[in-house]
Amino acid sequence: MNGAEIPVSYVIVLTLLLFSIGMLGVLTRKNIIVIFMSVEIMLNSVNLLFVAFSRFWNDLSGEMAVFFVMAIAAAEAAIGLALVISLHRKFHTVDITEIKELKN
Amino acid sequence: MNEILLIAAIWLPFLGFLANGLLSLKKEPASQKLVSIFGVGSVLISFLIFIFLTFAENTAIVSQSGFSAMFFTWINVGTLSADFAYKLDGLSVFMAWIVTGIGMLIHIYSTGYMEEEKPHFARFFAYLNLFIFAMLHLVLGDSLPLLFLGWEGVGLCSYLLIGFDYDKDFAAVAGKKAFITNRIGDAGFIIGMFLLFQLTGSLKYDEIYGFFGANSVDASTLNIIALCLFVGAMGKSAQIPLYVWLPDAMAGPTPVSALIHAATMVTAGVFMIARLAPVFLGAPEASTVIAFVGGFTALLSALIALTQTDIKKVLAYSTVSQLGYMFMAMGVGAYGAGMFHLMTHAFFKALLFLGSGAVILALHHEQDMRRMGGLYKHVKLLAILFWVAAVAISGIPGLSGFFSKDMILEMAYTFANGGKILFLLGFMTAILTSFYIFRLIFLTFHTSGDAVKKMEEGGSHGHGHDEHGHHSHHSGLVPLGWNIMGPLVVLGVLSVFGGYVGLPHIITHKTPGIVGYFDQVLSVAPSKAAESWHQHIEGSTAWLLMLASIGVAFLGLFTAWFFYQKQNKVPAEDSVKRSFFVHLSFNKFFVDEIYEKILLNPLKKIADLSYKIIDVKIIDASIDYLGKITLLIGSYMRRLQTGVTPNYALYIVSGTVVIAFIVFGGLN
Amino acid sequence: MENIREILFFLFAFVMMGASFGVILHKNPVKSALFLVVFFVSLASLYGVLGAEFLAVLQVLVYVGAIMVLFLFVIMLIAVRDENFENIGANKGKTMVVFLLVLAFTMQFAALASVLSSDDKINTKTEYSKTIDSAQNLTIEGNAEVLSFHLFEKYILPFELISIVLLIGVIGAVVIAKKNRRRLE
Repeated sequence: MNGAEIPVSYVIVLTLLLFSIGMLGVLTRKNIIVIFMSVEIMLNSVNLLFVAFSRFWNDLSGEMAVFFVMAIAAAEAAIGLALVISLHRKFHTVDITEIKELKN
Repeated sequence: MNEILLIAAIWLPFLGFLANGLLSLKKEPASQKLVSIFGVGSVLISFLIFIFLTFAENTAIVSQSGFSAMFFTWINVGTLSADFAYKLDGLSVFMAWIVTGIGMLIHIYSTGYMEEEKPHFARFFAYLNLFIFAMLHLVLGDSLPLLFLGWEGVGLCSYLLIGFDYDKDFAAVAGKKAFITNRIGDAGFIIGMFLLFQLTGSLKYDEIYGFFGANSVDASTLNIIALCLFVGAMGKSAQIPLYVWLPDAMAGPTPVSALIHAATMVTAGVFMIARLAPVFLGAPEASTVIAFVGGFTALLSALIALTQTDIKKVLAYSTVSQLGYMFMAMGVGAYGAGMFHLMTHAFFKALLFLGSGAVILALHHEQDMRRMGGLYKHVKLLAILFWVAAVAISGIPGLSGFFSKDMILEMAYTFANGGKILFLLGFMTAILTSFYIFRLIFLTFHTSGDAVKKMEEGGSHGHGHDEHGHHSHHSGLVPLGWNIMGPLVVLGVLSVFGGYVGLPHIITHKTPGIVGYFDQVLSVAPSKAAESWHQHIEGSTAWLLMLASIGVAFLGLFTAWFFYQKQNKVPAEDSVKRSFFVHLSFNKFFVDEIYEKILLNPLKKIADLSYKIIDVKIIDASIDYLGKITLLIGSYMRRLQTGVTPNYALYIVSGTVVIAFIVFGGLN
Repeated sequence: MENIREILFFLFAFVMMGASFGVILHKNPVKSALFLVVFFVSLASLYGVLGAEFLAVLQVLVYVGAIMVLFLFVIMLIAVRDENFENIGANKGKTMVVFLLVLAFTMQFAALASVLSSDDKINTKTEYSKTIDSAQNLTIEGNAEVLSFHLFEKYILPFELISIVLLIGVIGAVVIAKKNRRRLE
């Protein structure tokens, strides 16, 4: 076997499931913070796919991408949470269905 | 090199138009000197170029193909191709001389005439230059589309210049009337053009001529084409029944009346017939119709001119009448005579109009002849020039009008299909012409009345031209400068000697020079082609005809002298009741009113009905329903726009699923 | 021994699934956050199983150490604990639609996985290596070392740019969180 143990398709299916769960969270939850967490799940599931393929093709570029995604995610988390605070300050709620600025 | 010169000659007036047009856009009136230099200079240079080209390219011009210059491709669709290409041949060089030569004289005259109109000076010259530009396209284009472009261009300029004082109602209305009446004619012209294209497969003159040279075409086809084209000529050249716009066109400034509505534009129909000589010469029935329409127009408008009191109106109806002569000549196949009369008419009618403009200007914009008289004492030179023009138009021997008119009358007399009637029409018109023109002269320049005194006493009421109020004190005549009198003198000389290019054959025993010229330069020699249309007459009969027409000219002169000089009659005021025929003539045979009753009112009713039924009930309603349906769909669709963010995320996911299905659908 | 990585993979895979369901199903955001911590840690372990040890360490440091702390901090700050507005089963129709949609989505992309056969396996054991000086025959091995060489040679420009992005993120976060307060006062 020479160290090749985990089939790529397993990882893909796992990634897909995690991504779908994250998407379910985004679509069903009303709490902005939880939606944000679900987005993080989606993001990380894609990271997992990057690592898997990086290993599969023996190319470090995939891992580099994950590295950059992490850096961006850190910045995004900071901005996103600042936005949550600012939203909460304005509307006094974190219920996304209560905030209907797109209408009217 | 000469090709470039030809193109330059045609486009120079356009540059003048652009320059003056830009100057007219300035807030404060542009320098009149600058405008005059652009306006007159461009036409003058153009005229000089034509003189040069006439001599430089002499052999090419008198040949059949002419001298041509290609500027750029305009339309190229299928077999139809129309280029901005110009053709300087015997016919067009003749017209180009008249257009630019008389045009230049009138431009010079206008610098004096329009001097008071400071804010509109540049605009006026811009329009005039544009007119020359369009007219040169009409005359020099080498294909019918280009002729039509010029045809519409001069129509546009005519509209703009008639309505030059657009703040006055009557001018704006007259402009519209001219434009709309011409549209009727243009419809016929376009149809004729299409039919001709269908027949010959080309709209280029050379190819049309070639087609007619190679094929013999059924006369019935040509009759239809010729009649359609003649409808266009009716509109542009003011023939029955479309002549009504021309008298109203006198609302424009007098130089415009001289240039556009007497000397050049209105003769476009005559020119067009000469240009398409093979079509018209192959259509004898249509030509007969043209001759009779011309004859009746000549008589009717001469009758109206008898009793008019507005000096410009008399000249306007006179123009219609003289155009009738030209069409009579074209109709009987006497193209040389028609073009000859076109030229002499351009000289003396321009002179008459410019002279009347000078009178009007001198009398502080008084146009009513009843308020004139005795001007001879004050403006001798002007009076002499007026006499020259009047003698020329009335057909008294020795001056230009005599030769051309006599040639037309003789050709009409010999015409096989009702030539005697035509001759009678022309003959009666000749008497009337002589009468009304000398009536005009006596009323204006002679009689015991004194225009200057009348003016000082009565002020100028009647035509409301008083807004030009720089001379509200009304003391004495306005002096006439050299730029007004100069062109008049030149035109006077031309009116005297212009006729000697066509001395009648009974004197010289040769074909008249101008007839021979047109036999040579037109693609079919008209006097040969139309030979069978004419009967032969003896020399003595010709002499008799000539003596008769000389006789009636003097008869008119004498009658006018008797009534207006000896008996000192002055036409009655508008309100006075007139005898039946005078009443008819004074009111222009009620043609305008008849048109309104039988054409305009039913049309208005139809328009009203179609507005109420088609527009409101069908078109508007269908649009309304379209809107309502959209609203209905929208009222359901807008529920999708909840403003709740997760729902939008849901739509995005749905879209992704659909796209994924389209992209990966094949993999399953 | 050959199977140990596969066993570990399945173990962490199931933990991650459970943790992510915990995140999206729990009413209390604090508990959701704690499930997310479990998710991140097991993901880091999975990175380790797949042979990306350096990323595993980074995952724990960045996500668990920084981001999750930030999350919890915000939750505490705006004092939303038990959400009475959250009731996932309330709108059954919409939940159904969402579920079907996500299922369709999953099915569509599962087709991609089926392209690869189960024989295509990830080589988790081979160490990366890179010759940095062929003259001295100097070669480095190991995940972190090779990665750092990549980072500071090939990707030096993106690396510098990312640092600017982070700086902007920090400033932006401060500005956004602060602006409204000033306006309110």
